[in-house]
Amino acid sequence: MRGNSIRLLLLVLSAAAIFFSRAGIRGAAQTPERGELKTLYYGNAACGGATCHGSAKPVAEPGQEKPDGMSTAFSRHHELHFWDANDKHKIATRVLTEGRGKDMAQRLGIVGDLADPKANRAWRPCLACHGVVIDDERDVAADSFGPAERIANGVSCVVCHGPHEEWVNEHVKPLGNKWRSLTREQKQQQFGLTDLWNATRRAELCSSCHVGDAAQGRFVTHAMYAAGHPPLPGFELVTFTVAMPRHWETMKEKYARLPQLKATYDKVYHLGTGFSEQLDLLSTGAAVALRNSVQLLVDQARPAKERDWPEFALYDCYACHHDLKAESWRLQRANAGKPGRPQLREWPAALAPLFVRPDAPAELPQKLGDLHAVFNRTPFGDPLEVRPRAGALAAWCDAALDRLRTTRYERGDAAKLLHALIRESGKDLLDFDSARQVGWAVQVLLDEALPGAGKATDLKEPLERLGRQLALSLREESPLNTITRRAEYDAFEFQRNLRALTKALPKQ
Amino acid sequence: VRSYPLLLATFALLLGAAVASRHDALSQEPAPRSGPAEGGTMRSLALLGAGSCAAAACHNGPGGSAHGREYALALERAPSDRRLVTLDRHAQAYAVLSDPRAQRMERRLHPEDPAARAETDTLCLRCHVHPNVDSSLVRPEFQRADGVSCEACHGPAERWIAPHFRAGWSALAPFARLAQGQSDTRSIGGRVQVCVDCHVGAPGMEVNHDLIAAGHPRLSFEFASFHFLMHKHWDLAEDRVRPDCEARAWLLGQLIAARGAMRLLADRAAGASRDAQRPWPEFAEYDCAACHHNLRATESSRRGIGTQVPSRWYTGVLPEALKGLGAAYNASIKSALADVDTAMATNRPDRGLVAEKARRVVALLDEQLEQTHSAAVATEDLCRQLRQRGARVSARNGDETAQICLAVGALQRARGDTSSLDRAQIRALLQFPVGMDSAGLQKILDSLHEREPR
Repeated sequence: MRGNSIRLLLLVLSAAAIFFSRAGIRGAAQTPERGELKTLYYGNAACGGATCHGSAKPVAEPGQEKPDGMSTAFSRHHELHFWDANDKHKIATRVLTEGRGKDMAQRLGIVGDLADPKANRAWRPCLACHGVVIDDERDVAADSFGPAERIANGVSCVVCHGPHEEWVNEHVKPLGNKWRSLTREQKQQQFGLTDLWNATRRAELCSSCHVGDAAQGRFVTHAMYAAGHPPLPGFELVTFTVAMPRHWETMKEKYARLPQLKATYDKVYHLGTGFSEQLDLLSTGAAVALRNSVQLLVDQARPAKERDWPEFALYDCYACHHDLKAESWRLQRANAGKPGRPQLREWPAALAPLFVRPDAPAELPQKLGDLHAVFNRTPFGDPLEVRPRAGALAAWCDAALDRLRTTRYERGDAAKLLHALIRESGKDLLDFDSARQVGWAVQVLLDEALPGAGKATDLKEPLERLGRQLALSLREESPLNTITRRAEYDAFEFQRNLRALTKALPKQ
Repeated sequence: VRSYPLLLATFALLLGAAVASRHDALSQEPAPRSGPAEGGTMRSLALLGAGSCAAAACHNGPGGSAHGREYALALERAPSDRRLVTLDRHAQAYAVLSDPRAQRMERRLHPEDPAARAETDTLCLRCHVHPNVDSSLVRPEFQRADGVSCEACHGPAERWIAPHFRAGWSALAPFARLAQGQSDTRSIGGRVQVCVDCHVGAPGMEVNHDLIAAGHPRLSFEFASFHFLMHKHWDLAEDRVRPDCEARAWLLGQLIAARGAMRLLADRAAGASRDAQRPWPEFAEYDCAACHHNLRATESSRRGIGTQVPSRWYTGVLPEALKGLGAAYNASIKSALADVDTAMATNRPDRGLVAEKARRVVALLDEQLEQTHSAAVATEDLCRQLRQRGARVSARNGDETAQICLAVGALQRARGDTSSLDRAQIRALLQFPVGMDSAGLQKILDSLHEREPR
């Protein structure tokens, strides 16, 4: 009797724990709690003062914390310059108004003034990722974010850091105020500064555009692709961040530059020095990419959207858009599925070895297999069958993300993950975008496991070959180039390249 | 079986009828109706095998002309060809099922069954041997190894093997011979129908997208071209008794193939609503190039913003074929075809609606074909119209351009223009994807144009 009630109590407690932890996840997925905070969109000019974030070069030298009375603990003050000179986010809105963007708009029948919230409703599906969707002109800081600035600023500072007056005002107050000693969670909850040190949040923010997020209206439809949008490539958070290029310091760099601030950093960021930020971002980014891609499917399979089913953008582009040739590698895959039945994109699951449960490795393949079976059964799948299976997979991803949040990666884990990833990736023929995910992750893991190893003679050649085959260098690749690489891609060659790389790796 | 006595009586009556000349038999083009796949009689008759036709005194004898030598001709090989391939590939249809390529296809289609073999898969055998291959009435003498042999086209010989060489058989009306199981291969229309069941497809005998994706070539049937390319085991001069033979071949080929395609579409749509195993939408009903283009698509190759485009291979030049009938044709065929297109051009076409619209086209074409048999083909007019259309078409649209080129080629042959498309060009046009680039297609279009008399 007593045992039973204890069991009952445990059951209730664990149910409550699950409920609250899931509530927590949902919370984490949203942008700052808006209730008390005032939404205000600033243009980049508001951030770009010469002594704020608009310096032409980093003002901070190692060991120098307060040049000219400004703190460099959190910023080196040249972020906007970095962004201005190199970051493609800057031109994201402008490209809608010229060349391919303009042609696409014409094909899609989009009219209206892009920069005017009263007239730009037709543009919102584009602006959702390519700029800032403003619901109400009153929410705009007019002096810095007029119509011209909206186009010139693209995906601007506020999109990622949070469009809220409170943190903007607070963080510029002179030294000695409480801001510096607040934790990142407090800065977010009380002031609306998005906590981008939270790997899940950062991954969700980037993935909302780079993979898609229907809840935020961020989804590249097949109509957009057909009108000329370049195919969205896979998304690996760390690699894309490096290519951006990153305008901030990693934790490792912060600790190295200002070792005297260790106590402050430990308090504000509580991440510690042995912590591998890259591994955390790599695995979290991979899990979020899978979750988001599956979530798009869940959303699209809603009964309310039945008329629009199937949305081709959810499927592997190359299931259909491949050159027709006999006996291609596509047909020789072990998991090719039923011939002629389009499957989902494969790349979001390519980095699964980085986040599967080691004690239950069959769980994810099982869930993926359930979903694939639906698309094998009938062309494009029956949405009624798709939704529960995609939902189960999304829930599995949420649980994996929960696990990752409490997993503390050390740099020493990189080698183990690298070998696991290579081993799993060699088991079947991968398509171009999956192989590319693996290629990107291998670079990140190698950099963490053996810093500078890419220059070592043994590894240099196989890495370069992998890089060429998969167009791994984002800054050197244009979307159209990548399309050509995809068309030329040979999965057997990737297997050979992977084997050559394994050979050159130091034995575990 | 119930109508057997009645049929016998008809047969006897007709045997006694006056013997009409061969010319008359050809000129009275019967309305081509059902083929082996759907004829109830055809299904209930035994297959005897090609061996029963091959006696020296029958179809395997010596001599200069095709008469009496049909069997030998059907198996003739080019002496220079070291692969020893028969000139008429029908004889090899079964053998190819043992090719590694066919075995790979079978494995991909049935990954759950490692014992599955193409040589024993009824779906393959119905076209690669005989539609009745799975019937219990196949005699032991019937050899699958003979491939698509005599009875596949001429009909199961159980009832007509004995009477067909006796006096009077030739004089029988085609329907009377058909009642005994012998297909009408004398008239062009009858021939088209025989080919269509395999080369376009029929219920239970279809090359759907699953099969294509597993490695089977797409079917691109155009009767006049196939007929021209086929190694003849009959006397062509007898076909040419009617001077517009080639033009009729093109015209009836278009109409009957389109009817076959629509019948198959109706079956696919209706079948998919009954049987969840049947794929829907059936991608083979769409223009391959609408999806299977690489992603560097330029403006000029873009056809609509990301929707499926129904295939126009079997219906693209149908308007011209209808005009070529000379007599008035039912203009509602065009709008009925447009209705099918509209019903299909969505990402999730309504099965019931598609079946209904496709059946309507079948009914209209049936009606049209009933009235078609004796009208003379207006070859010159047709040729001009098709050339004009050829001047407007974009050479990038491979299917449409190929059909136009093949049509003009056939009509020029009908006029006796021997310098029209050569065999290699025709083969390239029938290939999928078309065996030449858009410049090559344009060149053919131009050359067809140039040869026109002023």
